[in-house]
Amino acid sequence: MTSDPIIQVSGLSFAYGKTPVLNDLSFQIGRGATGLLGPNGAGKTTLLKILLGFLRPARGSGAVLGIPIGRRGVHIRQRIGYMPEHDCLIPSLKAVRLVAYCGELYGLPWAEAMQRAHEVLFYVGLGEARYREVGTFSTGMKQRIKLAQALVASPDVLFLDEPTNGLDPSGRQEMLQLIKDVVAQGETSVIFSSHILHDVEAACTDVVMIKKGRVVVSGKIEDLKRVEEAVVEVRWKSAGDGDGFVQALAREGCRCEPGRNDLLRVTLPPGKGTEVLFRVARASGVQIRHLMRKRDSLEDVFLSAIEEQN
Amino acid sequence: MPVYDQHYHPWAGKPRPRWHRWLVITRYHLSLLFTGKGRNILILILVSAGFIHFCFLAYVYVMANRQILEQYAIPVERLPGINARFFLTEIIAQTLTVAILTLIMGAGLIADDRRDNAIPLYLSKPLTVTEYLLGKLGVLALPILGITAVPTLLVFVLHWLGGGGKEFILTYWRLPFAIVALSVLIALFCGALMLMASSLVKKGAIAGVVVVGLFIGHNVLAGVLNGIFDSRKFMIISLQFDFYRLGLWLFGLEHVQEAQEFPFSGLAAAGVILAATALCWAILWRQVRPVEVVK
Amino acid sequence: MTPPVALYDVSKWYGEVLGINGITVQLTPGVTGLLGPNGAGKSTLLKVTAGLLWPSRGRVEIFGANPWREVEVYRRIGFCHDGDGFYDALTGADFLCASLRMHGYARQRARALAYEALELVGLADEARKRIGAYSKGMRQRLKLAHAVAHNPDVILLDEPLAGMDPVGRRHTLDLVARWGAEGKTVAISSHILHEIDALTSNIMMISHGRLLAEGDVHEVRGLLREHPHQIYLECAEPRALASRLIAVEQVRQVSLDSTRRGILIETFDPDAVYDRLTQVVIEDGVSIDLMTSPDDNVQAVFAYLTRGRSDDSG
Repeated sequence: MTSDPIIQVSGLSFAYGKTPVLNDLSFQIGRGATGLLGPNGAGKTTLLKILLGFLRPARGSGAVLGIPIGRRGVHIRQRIGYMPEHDCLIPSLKAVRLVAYCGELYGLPWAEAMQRAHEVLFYVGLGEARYREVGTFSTGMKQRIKLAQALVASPDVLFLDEPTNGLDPSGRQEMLQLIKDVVAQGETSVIFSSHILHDVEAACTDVVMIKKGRVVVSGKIEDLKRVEEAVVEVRWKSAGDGDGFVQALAREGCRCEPGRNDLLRVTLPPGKGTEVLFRVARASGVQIRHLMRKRDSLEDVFLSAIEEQN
Repeated sequence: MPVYDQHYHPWAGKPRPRWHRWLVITRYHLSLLFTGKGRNILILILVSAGFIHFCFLAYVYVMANRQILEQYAIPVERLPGINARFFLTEIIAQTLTVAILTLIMGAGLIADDRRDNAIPLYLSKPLTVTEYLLGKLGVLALPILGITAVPTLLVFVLHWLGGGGKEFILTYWRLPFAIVALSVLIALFCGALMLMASSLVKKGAIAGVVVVGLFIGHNVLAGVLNGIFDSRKFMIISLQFDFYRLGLWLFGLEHVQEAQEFPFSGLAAAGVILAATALCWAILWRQVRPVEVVK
Repeated sequence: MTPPVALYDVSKWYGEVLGINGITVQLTPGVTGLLGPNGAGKSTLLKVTAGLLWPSRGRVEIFGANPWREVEVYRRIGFCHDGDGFYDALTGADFLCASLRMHGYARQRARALAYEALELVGLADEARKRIGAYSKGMRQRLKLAHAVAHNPDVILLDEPLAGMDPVGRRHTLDLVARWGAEGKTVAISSHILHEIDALTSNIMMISHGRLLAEGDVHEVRGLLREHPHQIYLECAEPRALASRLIAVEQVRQVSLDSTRRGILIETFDPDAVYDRLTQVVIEDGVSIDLMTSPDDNVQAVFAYLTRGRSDDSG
């Protein structure tokens, strides 16, 4: 297994007519799961089209799995699986037939395609529905079979475009779990494009964030999230309104302000740990029920990166 | 006594070469045809196409066994012989079956994919637009060749072996090439036209109506232009005349009166046919666009 | 005082297909999150409430009036449906204007309100563009503008965030929170539970057309007595803390999470355990880095309540 980047682009530029979409875009994506983020109109779609070999960049170069982009889209697509955002299925076909057909389009011999179709359908949890017509599938099942058809030829890279679209909470959990499982096997890398940052955070270790055709943030998600050691967010339970607790905290030198989500944001005085909170709580007759160091979510990282740009 | 890992296993095989990837699409559609709803009509067409060829074969048989005709006192000398004209007629006789076959099998080929938004399913695979279109064309072209070139060549060979002998093959050695060339042109044109119509709409039935409309429309146009200019030159617009003229030329029948009466040459007819086919492909190329795979 | 929205034993069938089944609920001013698996009946509930569907049984009241019969009450309802149907040839401003004119506003006033609403959802720059040229996120925001342009008191939003990018989501959630704080009655359905969690603790869960739970999510969690209360802690020496806590009588189970220096406590008597925990922390001078209740949020409550109930499972 090499540590070569699976996707690498440098100086990529593209414009539709006079509207620039990508401006001198450069980044690298390594193995594993990477979120590809950006607000509407950031150029994500165009980037995907270039990486899949459907568009030729005006300037710049790049490679997917070491295969240069531009002319050799078919060679790239041989080694990637693409799960489109929108429905793109043949409703009159049985699930197993559809997936096997996709396998054949990847070049699997018929018998192996059929065998593989059964395997991946079991894998994505559609084992019971293998002989049902795809047109009768629910939203969640359609998302799963879209994943199955992308996985059928064991791609080296899986491009997922809004894979949790339209799924209800349990369906989303299961889809994210599947994606994590695929990555955990170590053979397949995932490029995860989504507007739901929570899902990206759950499934990916790295992100590349683009805006107006440029990379604004990239790196490991863990490194991007700032932690403010001295600031903790607290929720408590008390018989009364708890004003006494807040005042007592202030007397101890803590700065208190209301935070998001009904939480109290407390800035601890220098050199003091969290036990001061418990002491004050005990004295004021309240119970601390939730305590967490303030740390950015991926959404905070995203929104602040977008704002800096503006 | 191992416990086998039931987790995700990647496929470790080697993909087949890409050059016949398009055949996957053709094979898929052909295998679906006999399970779909048009099955009975399809069988009817194939049976009638076969029957027409059977009649020609029967004629070859009786001509080889003249005593049968003499028994019934039929004057053999007055009957048309088995020559280039005979085989051209055998292909031309399939016009209607070819047309119906094209309409039934071809109307939904791309229209259904557009309706279901299934084109991204194909083009996100290692498949070019050309291969996609080629695969769809094969669905029409192979059956059309199957009811034109293949049985006609069979009748040709049977006549050669049965009654024609050395003299026949020496005279008509060019005919097999003509049979194949004409059939291929018919298949290519019908396929391209049908696919083009099918790619314009999202409903197969409408694609069929478009093709019928185009067929009637361009003939009416030819007639109207002929009428206005009081000439026969505009016959060249009409593709069925083009194919007939081309057939006469390919089968070496330039000298017959019918060919002389056409106001244009076989080469010109071929030009018109090729131009029409190219136009259909150009429209197809505009309609099936890989950039729409990612939305 | 009459509640802004009240449903009494409301059921709705489509032929033989069940939409919602015997729902009795009142919505109070503020934001209510409407949650449920696919096919649970969320859209039906919202449509029945908005007076767009006739309930097969039961009674719907908006400020005491029946929205199906009394057209006047429509002025006080804003509804954002989950479909995507627009007149693509119109501009955003013209579309809103026409809709406001139908609400009975004079031309000038309608125009002013339309631009106000577009400004609110951040579409002011695109007001004169054809709707056909809008992106998915912009169409969603236009739907939102359409729902609130006439300044209704009851706002019903069916999956308003679907297809929006993160910037749009944040903006919309902030708007919804503001409407709630202004005293409007807002019901919002969404599948993205943590966004609802951050928006409001007042939820309403339905599944198979039936009401599963409604009210404050933490109180609802407290009612689910078959699931022990969980407390997750992280500190420098989890093993030492765990050994102290296992001695507490009310603690049912303590498990160590070695990778993250954490311990998970399960109990049926959280009050007592939190008391003892506070005591231990103070006595031993333990510095707690993280203390949270992993199943006291919308996601966990949803999972507990809908387990095995999803209509959309493969």
